[in-house]
Amino acid sequence: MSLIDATLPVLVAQGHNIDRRLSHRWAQALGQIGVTRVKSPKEPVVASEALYGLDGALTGDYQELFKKLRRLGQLEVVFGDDEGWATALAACWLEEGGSNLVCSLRGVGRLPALESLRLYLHLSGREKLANSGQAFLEIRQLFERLSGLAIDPFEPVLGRGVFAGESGVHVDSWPKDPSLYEPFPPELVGAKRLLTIGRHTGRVALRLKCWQLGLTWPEEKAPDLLTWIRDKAVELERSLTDQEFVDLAESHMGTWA
Amino acid sequence: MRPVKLVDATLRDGEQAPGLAFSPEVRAQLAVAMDAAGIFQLEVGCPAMGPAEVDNVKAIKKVCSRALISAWNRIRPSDVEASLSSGADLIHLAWPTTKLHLERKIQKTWAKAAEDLATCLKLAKGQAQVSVGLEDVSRATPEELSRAAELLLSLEVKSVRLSDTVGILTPTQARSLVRFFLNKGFLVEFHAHNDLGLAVANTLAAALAGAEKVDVTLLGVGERAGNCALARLVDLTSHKLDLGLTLQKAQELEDLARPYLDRAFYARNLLASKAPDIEGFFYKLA
Repeated sequence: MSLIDATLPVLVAQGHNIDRRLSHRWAQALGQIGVTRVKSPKEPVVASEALYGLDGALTGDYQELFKKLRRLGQLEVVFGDDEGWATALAACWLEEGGSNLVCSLRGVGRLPALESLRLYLHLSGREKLANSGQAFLEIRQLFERLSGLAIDPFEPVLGRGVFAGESGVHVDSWPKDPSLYEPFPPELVGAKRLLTIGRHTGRVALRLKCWQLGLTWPEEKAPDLLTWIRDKAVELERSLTDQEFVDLAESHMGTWA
Repeated sequence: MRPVKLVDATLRDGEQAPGLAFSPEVRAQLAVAMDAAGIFQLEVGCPAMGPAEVDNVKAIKKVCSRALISAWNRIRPSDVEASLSSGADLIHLAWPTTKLHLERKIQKTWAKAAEDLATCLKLAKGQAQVSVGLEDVSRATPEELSRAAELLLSLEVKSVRLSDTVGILTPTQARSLVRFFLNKGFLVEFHAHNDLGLAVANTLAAALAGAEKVDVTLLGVGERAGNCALARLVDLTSHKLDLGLTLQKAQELEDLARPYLDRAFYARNLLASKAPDIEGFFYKLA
């Protein structure tokens, strides 16, 4: 067992009431991404016998330390976030073959972030994920409901906007091979590729956006259109919404078919 | 404490984050502040984007008195020419380290890519400093790493940037990569992405392993889950490394940039979009 989820006891310790039905759904959703040990709201965040006090290890010879600690058996292992690198240290622990790692979603309670470590296990080939998108969606929604906290659209693994693309260099890679600039496919974590038009838009992105919006590709006007888009984005100091993009094009080219 | 040079990429990689577009005034304001704060190098754009971007780089070069100004380039002579015309002090060239990037992204043979790199280096020689970025280095095989190192040594490249393009390294792996290139005799720069939330810790590990330069952005802004956040890195490295600026200065810079990096409006629109999934149109371009 690699990961032990302590999200619910942490939330309880922070004063949240955890509904039994939601608690059950939480355990089910985590089970679907391979996290089989999920602490109930009534359990302590950390077992009475556990390994902790290792928070500063990252700047020392942690590999040697971890080898020794692994010989101590199946105790729970806790890396706190006092130094700001709990998740990184936890990833190193897993990398050295460690297990029984106590973590929580988004690292609440100053623990390592479960979602990052679950993706680390997937990417390292140790515990692959498959068809996990729906479970991640459920985990995201349940966490927001249980904690009252909103997940930032651009935070690692859980952010719904992480796979948005605008720059020429990245969007150009999507039709060639999306894995060029993606660590894992968005569908693995219940996210989507989202196309934005703005200052860094190139020709490929523009064509994709036209098709996506059902607009005729204005081949001859494309270079001008890219310039108008860039100028408008700089004027607005942000990317364009789809409607702003259509309005901009129509203001220069007339009504779009 | 060992000094480590900071390279801020907010005005290049940072601004590539969907939703952002800096006006020339904002670019200048941020560049001046970072220059005055003591950031060693500012990577400020891709002049190959066109004349407006060349002007952006020129304008920043004009207002900065201390920081090295660098520009990002593909291995295309036209990119290097654009960067040289911008007056950038340093030309950064991106090398596709993995077979994936070589075959699927730039779609060239290794020999052709090596020839293009040599041409670009020749163009820049004597006109600007040069560094070569090993893109996708975190997914490279040991053979690909050795091959890249041998090529760069044969072309007399001294400075390499190790780019964890998809943000999948751990601190142990970052440290090991830095040591591999240090042992080959390179000056090493490290560029992290935050896909697993490890960008700051990986950058710290790279710096402690001996990297000469490390890349940051203000508030960690960047594509996908972002890059290594300046103030968080400065905070973590205090008493361990000398990054050339205090935590207070780093926080002041991020406070200055915060309004320009706010993507709340963008995110609301993005997530509310009812446009069809984009994958359905890839076949038209494949």
